[in-house]
Amino acid sequence: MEAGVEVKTRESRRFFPKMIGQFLRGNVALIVFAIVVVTFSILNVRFLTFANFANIGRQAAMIIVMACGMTMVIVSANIDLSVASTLSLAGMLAGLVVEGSGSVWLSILVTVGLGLGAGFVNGLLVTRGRIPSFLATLGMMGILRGLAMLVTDTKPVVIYNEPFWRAFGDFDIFGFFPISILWTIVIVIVTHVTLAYTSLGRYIYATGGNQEAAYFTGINTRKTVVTVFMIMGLLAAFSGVMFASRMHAARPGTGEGMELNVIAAVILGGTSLSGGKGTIIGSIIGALTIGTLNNGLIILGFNTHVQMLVRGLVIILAVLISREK
Amino acid sequence: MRPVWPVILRRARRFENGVVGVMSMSSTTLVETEAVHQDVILSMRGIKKSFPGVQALKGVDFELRRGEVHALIGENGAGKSTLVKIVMGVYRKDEGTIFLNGKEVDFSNPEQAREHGVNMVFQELSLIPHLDVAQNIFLGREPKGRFGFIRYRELYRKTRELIENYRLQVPFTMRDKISSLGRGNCQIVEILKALARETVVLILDEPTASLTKEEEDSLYQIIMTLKKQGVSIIYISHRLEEVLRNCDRITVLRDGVRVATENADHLDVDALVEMMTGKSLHSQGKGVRGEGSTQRKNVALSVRNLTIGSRVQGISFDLHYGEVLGVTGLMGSGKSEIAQALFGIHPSRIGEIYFEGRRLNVRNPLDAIRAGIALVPEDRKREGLVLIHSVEDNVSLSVVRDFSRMGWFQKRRARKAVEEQVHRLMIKTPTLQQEVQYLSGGNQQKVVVGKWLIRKPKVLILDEPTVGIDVKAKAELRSYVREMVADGSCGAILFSSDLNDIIQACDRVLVLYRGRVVKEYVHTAFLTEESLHRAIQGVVDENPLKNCSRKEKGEGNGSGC
Repeated sequence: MEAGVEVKTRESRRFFPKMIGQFLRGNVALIVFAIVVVTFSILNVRFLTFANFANIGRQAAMIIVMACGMTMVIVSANIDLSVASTLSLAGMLAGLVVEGSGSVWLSILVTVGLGLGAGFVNGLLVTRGRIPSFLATLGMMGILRGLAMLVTDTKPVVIYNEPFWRAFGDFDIFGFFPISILWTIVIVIVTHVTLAYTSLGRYIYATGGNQEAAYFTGINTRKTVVTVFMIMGLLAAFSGVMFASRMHAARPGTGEGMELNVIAAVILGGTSLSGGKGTIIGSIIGALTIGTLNNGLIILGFNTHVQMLVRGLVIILAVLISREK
Repeated sequence: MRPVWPVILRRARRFENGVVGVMSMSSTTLVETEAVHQDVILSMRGIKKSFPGVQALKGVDFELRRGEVHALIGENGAGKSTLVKIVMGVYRKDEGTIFLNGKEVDFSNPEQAREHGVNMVFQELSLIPHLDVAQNIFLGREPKGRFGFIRYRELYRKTRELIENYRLQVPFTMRDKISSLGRGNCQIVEILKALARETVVLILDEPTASLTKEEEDSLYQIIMTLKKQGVSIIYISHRLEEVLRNCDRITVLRDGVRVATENADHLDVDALVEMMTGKSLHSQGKGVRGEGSTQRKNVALSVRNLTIGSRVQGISFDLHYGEVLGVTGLMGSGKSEIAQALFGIHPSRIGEIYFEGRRLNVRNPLDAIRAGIALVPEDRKREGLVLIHSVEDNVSLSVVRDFSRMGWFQKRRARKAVEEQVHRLMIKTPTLQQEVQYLSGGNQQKVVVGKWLIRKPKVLILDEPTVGIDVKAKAELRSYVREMVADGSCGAILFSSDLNDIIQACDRVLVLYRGRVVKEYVHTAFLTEESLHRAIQGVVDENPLKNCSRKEKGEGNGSGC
């Protein structure tokens, strides 16, 4: 009898830390986010205000929009390094078209075409050309950035078209709710539903989880991967439009290095780099964490170098905790 | 119905051997044997190990004597691999003790185990294809000169010494590239790699699972040589005849418990199966064969002049609804190529495929699936399953298109269908959400089969479906296939090198040899493994001079040709 009792206590002692450990590992992004918010709220009064959160949202909007696409790309066991270049080229083209023609619709049409086109090329290089996505999109990153520099010979495009500003970035609905956040919410919902509830979503997970098995089950894995890259391109281009309309200008150098922030947000949100696993919601929390971190550090008066350092530390820590044992 | 008396007789015989009450004997006999044999090199006591959702080992005892070949058998999921991986330090045990040479040990990684002379050849080979044999054997421990350069002359000298020391006959030279060797020779290189370090205990995990008969024979010879040199060997296998023939003692595991440890000459296949499954072999149905052959109706699939490179040369056959057509042959006889061609995977094929009389152009799996063809592929982990996804996701993957409205996947409808299949195939899983990587091999294979049954295919192609799964799951799979074709709505083609499967499950059998059909058996009722064995070796004219088929049971070690 004694032995039995001992076993029981030993197991119950083990039980609680195990549960907590599992919860921690499953929700790292959420917990890190909570810690970041609480810490900054204590450290600075100005942090915990609606105005500041609207600000964070506005700044994080582009990252979130691209993280939605990047989640799909990474779940399909690929990566897209060309997103920031697509973003800047899309901004440039949108600016040039809207200033040249005065038509917001035409500028949107051109950017949508650019985004889908860039994604299509990425997808073809990966599926038909059999180039690993890391290399294919690395090449496209250079090409698109080069094009962005070339169109105006590196000069920025200043945008005077007011409807363009108001449509995508520089407008608060009812005077307090930033329109860019509204757009972001729409995109989050659409991409989340796509990944979680549609047949395309199932194909993406299966292709990323085991491309060969998916192919043997009759899934058109090439089409799936091309579609995913096209969605990514579209969202990257749209981020470029959002940024240009918020800034009233487009610069060819916009967003350099941003692809790494986007990837970091997705990974922080629990998506596996090897594919087959991950959620949009996780990536959103990951993106918000990075956005909040940047904002809080600025409010506390740290410069960008410290921001980079802290961001790096948080990413490594988060991945360390979430690592399966 | 089969008569009952053989079962009774067997029971009686086992009673004499003292193997009755299989569960109760485990602890007592161990104590006895240990008292008699002081010469135990490795002993494990009360080993327990659990994984998320399963208790893999529930207190297992095991002992290995010096210089014996000790087989470890059991169904998939019985805990064989887990047990040896604990010895190797791949997994850590939850409870229990391990003694090596009388000293308690607890290795935390395979390297530590190797340092203590315990070595294992894993199922997944660890050789580097573009290096040669010698370089692989000493990989990571190459003899080095003063500036860290590898001293190749010494490397080859040491390899030669290694082979000579153990007096091994190896069918390759040490400068052969691994990529040029067959699977069986790779196994031998793996063993050499283990022997290159001081090895007292060698563990082989299903070494013959994918070997040809010749490769197997040379592997056995090496094992016997090692045994004579005093190496103690733990041998995991699903092939019972092979185990009975080559091992000294046999330990049977079932559901994480040791059922028995016995001398091999006290046992036969029937007794082993009964211990492994807890049931008699003959009660595990052969399906309802015979009905199929009378019901044989319309032609479902016709293949004409199928040619694939040099591997398959102008093959033609018909598949009828309501029949199971068996296709067998040695490795390299073209079985897998045909299976894949029918499913649209080999693009370089020539020839025609007709489905219900209509010409079918299958360019990719999707074309085949649309026509109602399903393939259970040879390599279930690589081609059949998304290992990191759940049972539900894997089974429903084949019907995502059918269960979607306007791109919207109807999860609830799919789940119902999945539940039906899991129930029907008796897939052992704690929940539908369990990732398939944590299921045993047999259950994984059932998931692949379920993935296709859910679509109700017209033609079910199975490519080596029973490789690496246990006897009970094999029997179950066979009866599912029989069930599928029973109502005449489906025809099945079973590509297998397991002759027992072919005989048990098929109505008609084609034998391939070097890409051609060399024999067709229209009835299988009187088909024996022996005549099939001859046929797959290309001996179809029953020439007594060339008749060197290996007998299935007893009578030498089968390598006397």
